[in-house]
Amino acid sequence: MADVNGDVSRRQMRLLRNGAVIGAVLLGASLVVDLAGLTDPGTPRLPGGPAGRVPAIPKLPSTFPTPPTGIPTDLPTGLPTLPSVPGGAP
Amino acid sequence: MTAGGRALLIARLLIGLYLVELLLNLFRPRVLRHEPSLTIFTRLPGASGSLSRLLSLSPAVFWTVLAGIVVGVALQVLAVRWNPDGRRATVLLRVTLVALLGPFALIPLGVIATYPATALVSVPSTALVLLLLHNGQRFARLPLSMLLAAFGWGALIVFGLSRAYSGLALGTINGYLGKVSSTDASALLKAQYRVMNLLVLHLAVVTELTMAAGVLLMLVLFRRCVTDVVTGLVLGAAIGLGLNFSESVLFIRLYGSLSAFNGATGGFEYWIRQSIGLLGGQVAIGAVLGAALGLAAQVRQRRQRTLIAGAGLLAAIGGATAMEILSAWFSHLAESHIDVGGTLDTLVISPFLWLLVQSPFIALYVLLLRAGCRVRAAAARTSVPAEAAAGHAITDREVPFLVDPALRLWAVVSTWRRYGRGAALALNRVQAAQLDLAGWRWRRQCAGSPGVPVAEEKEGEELRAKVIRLKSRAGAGPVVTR
Repeated sequence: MADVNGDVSRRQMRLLRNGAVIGAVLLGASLVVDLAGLTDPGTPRLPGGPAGRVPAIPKLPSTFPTPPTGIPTDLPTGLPTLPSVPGGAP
Repeated sequence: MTAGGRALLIARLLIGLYLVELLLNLFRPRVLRHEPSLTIFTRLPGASGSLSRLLSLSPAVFWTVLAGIVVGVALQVLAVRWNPDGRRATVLLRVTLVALLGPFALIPLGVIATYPATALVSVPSTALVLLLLHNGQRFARLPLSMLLAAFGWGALIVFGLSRAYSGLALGTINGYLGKVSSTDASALLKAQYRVMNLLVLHLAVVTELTMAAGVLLMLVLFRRCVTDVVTGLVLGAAIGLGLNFSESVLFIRLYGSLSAFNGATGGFEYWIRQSIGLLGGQVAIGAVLGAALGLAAQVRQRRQRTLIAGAGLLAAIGGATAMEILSAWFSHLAESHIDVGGTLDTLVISPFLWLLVQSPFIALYVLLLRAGCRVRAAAARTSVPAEAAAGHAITDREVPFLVDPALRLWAVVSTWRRYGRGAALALNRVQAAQLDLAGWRWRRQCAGSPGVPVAEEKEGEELRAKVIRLKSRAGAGPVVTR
C-alpha cells in the first residue's frame, strides 16, 4: 500500500492539487463567460438598408432649355363633354 | 460507523438534496398566474410525443420516487426496531437502498426503452471501453461485478438523479429570474438565457456530487478490493462511462429532433460521444474525481482527507462546467470563420474545440494512472514472492512472469503461437487468478492501513483453490511459464 507520506503519493497529491487549480480557473472562466452572456445566440435582427452614405440625387443639368416665352395662356377650354352612360357609371 | 451505516448515510444525503430541491421549487416565486405547485407538472406548450418525453419528467416517475422515499424511511425505522444481524441486515440494507434510489433509474430506463435502437448502437463501443477498464488494471484487479455496478450507477442513478434535481432547479431558477415584462421580448430572451446558463452550472455540480457518491458507495459496499488511486480512478471512469451511455441515447435523439435549430445532428452526437467522448468527457472527469477519492481513502487525518476529496470535486465540477460553457463559447467564436457542419468542422474543428477544455483532465488521469500503476508494480514485487513462499498456488518459476506485465504478455503470445488459442487463454486465466491471490496477499501485508479492508484467511483459501482448479483444468499441457 502506498504510504501517503511517500514520494509517489506526494506526486499524486501534487497532481490532484494542480487538477483542482485548473478546475477552479476553468470554473471561474466559465462563470465569467456565463454571466457576461458570451454564449448567448444573437437576437435576430431585421434587415436594414445599406449603411453609409445615402447616394445623393443627381442634380439636374441647369442648362435645360427654358420654355419659350410668349406661349398663349388662353387655350380654348370649351371641349365637348362625353355622353352619359345609360344606367350610371360601371 | 459500519459499512451499511455509511452506505445509508450516502443515500440519505442524496435524498436530502432531492427534498431540498423539491421544497425550493414548491416555494418559488410564481411567474405565471396559474402555475402548478411543482413546475415538473407543467406541460410544454406545443410539445408532444417523443420530444415531450425527452424534456419533461413523467408524473408517474415522480410519484414512484416519492413512494420509494416513504418505503425507504419505513424500512429504516423497521431496521432500528428489529435490529437484524448477519444476512438479514445485508438484505434489509440492499432493499432500503433500492427503495430510496432505485426509482430514479426509471428516468434513464424510460429514455432507453423509448429508443432501444439508439441505445443498441452505443453498446459495442461502450462495452469495448468497459473491457479496457477491466483488463487495463495491472494488479489487484477490481471484481467485474464491482465494475458493472459502477457502470450501472452512472447509467441509471447519476443520470436519473441529476435530471431529477435539475428538472426541479429549472423551475426554481426560472421563478427567480424569469419574471420580466412580457412585452419586452429582448429582456425575456435574455432572462431565459440566464436561466439556462445557471441550469448548466447546477447540472454540473449535482452530476459530480452523485458521481462522487457512487464511488464512495462502491468502496463501502465492495470490501474485497484495495482502495488506492487506481481503484478510485477505474470506478470513477466506469461511472462516467455509464453516464456517457445514457446521455448518448438522450442527446443523439434530442439533437436529431432539434437539428434544424441548433445545427448539430444525431449523427454528429453519436460520432463525438461514442468515439473521442469515450475516453474524454464524463469518463475523464469521473476518473480524476475517483482517483482523488481513492487517494483520500488512504489518508488517516480527516482534514487532509477532506482537502484531497475537495480538490477532486473542485477539479471535476470545474471541468464539467467548462466542458459545457467554454466549449460552447469557443464554437460560438469559431462559427463565423468556418463552414459549420462541413467535413472539416465535423471531423476536426468541433472535436478539437470540445477536447481543448478537457485535455488537462485527460492528461491528469493518465499521469495519475501511471503513478498508481507504479505503486502497484512495487506492491506486486513484494506480494507475489511472499505468496509463492507461503503456498503452492504460485511457483518460484512463475514469479518473474507475474511481476512483469511485458513478460506475462510475451508468455501468453508465445503459448498462443506454439500451442494454440485454447492454451493461451487458459494461461491467461491462471495468471489472472494468481494476481488476484497476490492482491489478497498485498491486502494482508497492509493490514491496518487506511482504506485496506480486512483480508480474511478464508478468502485466501478460496483464491488458492481457484488457481489450483484452473491449473488442473488446463491439464498437463505445456505452457511457457512451466
